[in-house]
Amino acid sequence: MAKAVLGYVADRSMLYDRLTGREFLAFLAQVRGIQQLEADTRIEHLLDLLELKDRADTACGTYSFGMKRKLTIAGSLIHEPPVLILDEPLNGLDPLSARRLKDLFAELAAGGKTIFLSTHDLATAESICHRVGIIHKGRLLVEGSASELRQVASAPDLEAVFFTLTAEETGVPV
Amino acid sequence: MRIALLIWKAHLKTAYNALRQDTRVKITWLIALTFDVVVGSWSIHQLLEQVAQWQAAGSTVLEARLWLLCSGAWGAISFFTILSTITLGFGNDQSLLLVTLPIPPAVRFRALYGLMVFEGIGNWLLLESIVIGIPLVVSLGWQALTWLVLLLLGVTVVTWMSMVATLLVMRYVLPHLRKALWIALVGSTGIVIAWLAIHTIRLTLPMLFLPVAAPGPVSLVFVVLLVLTVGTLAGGVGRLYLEAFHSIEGRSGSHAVVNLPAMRAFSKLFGRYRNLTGALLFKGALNQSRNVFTWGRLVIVLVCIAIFPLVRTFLASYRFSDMLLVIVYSSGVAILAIIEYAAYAMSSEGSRLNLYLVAPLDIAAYLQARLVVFLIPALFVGLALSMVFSMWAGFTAFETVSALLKVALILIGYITFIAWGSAWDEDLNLAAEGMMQVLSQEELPITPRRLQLLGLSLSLIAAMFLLVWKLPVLLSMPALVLLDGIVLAVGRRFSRAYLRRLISGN
Repeated sequence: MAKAVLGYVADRSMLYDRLTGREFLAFLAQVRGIQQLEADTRIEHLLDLLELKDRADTACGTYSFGMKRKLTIAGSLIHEPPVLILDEPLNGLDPLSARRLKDLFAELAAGGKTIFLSTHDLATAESICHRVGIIHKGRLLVEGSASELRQVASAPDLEAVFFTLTAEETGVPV
Repeated sequence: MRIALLIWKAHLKTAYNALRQDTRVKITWLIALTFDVVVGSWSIHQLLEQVAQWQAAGSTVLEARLWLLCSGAWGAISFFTILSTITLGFGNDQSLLLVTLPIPPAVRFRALYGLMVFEGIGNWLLLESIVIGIPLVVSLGWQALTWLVLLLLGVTVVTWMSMVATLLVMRYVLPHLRKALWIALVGSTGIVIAWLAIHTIRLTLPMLFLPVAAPGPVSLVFVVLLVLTVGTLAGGVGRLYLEAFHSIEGRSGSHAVVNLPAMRAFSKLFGRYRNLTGALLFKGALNQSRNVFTWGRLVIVLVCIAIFPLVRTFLASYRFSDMLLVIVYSSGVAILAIIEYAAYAMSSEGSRLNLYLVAPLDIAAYLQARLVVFLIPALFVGLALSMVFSMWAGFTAFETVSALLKVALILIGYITFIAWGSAWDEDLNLAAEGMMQVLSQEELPITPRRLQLLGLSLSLIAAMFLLVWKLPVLLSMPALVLLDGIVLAVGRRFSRAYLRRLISGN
């Protein structure tokens, strides 16, 4: 099934407040039918990777916004999916957490994972994405690397590219 | 006083706007009014007869019974004050806003006290005043006035005492929750065991007749206490409230969760089953063991078990057979043990349903796992109780098996209806974050659909009880099987279709 190879992170944390971080990951591993020993190893690895180990045994409801986001991402990686879909993963994060997650995405991509990142922050897209697609009103307007898009629209950055491509509809002068 | 008035005015305005614009509030008001009218009428009728009997028995008995009546009314007010202190004083945006404002502690307390009277216990106070007031005035004439004054003044003092007790618990007990939970559980279990022991060895406690005071002087004492509470003592309680608030809001996020030994064992056991049902049981065991409502439910179940002999004696006078009583009581208690969360089996998930939707699972498998997870505790409680009660009532083996089968059939039909029916209120955009949001989403019938579902489920259970009551054994069993079959078939079809439509966004 296609779902088996997908990991999904929504734009909000979807946690059970009374479970600890470790229990939440164990629960997700069980939902996906991962064997106990394997699950335990992966949980330890993910807690380490996302720097959640210190708070792994406290309730998710007591986590900060950034920690909840990181736990959600850990949950999406528990079954080691080759494709990851992230919906606004950096929204509301402090600069340090955002930076760490960006580095993590780069590491995962370097490790062979395909990451679809949905964001309204064009500067982020420009800085970390290999390829960028601009979707406006449900339609894919353009797709390519950041430099290709800049060339297509003869614009200095992705924000300008977006406004150039949507000028007629948005009414914003280029 | 000006600040307290402003706060009350803001709350009144909020309530008025909510009543005008929010369907949920309108429905809640409608239900509360219906409840008041039905329960009020019945209680007035009963109390009129009782007061006449007390009068006939002489003034000593009358006064003793009126004191008992007032104590009962104050007890109920105390219960609702405790609930309202938690909901009005903590865990919502309004209380958080008020704490950040520079309001003197005494004024802060007076504002909360005033809110308690008209918003927290207002409905119950009105109901009690009418229910007790009308029979007393009809039976006692002017003499009733002194008792009504006593009742109302007593309410003001009891409200204050309950508020202070709640604040003290939140300030000094909640920080040591684990110890407190153990004490509460052991205490309530001890009470139930003692009660059962007393009943079993047929011990009868002599009725104590304490000398009763006249209502007039006690009312005067209450007036003095009231003046003290809103005057001199207001500052102290205001400070206690602030300390409790800061203690609750400022609890360190790093504290470990409460892990009860039995629940740890259960979660380990469920963790061995590497499938969705096992995962839901694992999550459910841990989640519920840390939910204060679960412990409340446990206490209710224990109380229900303890009062079974009383209920049996009481219903025997209405010609209820032991068989009917065992079936209705066992399934009723089992339903009571899970009703407030099973009714939102799926809708309480909100956006968290995505966790299951993105996993490689079939919708049918998801629905089946959900049903199994809610059926297991209900069947466990229901069958265990019907076994115990059957033995208590001296049933033969055939009667016991018959009772067990009927309880199982009732529970399967009912739980299927509410667990699968709750798909109807699922909303993928609804977040469940933070204590109050989680609480309202997982524990309360806050939406019109949930209320309708609960109403329909009560009609279903009434129909099932009616089948057991009115039909002979040979017919009631197939009738229940047929009803279960219909609920399972329609419920499965409906919930699958509804979830599919939800996912496709239509």
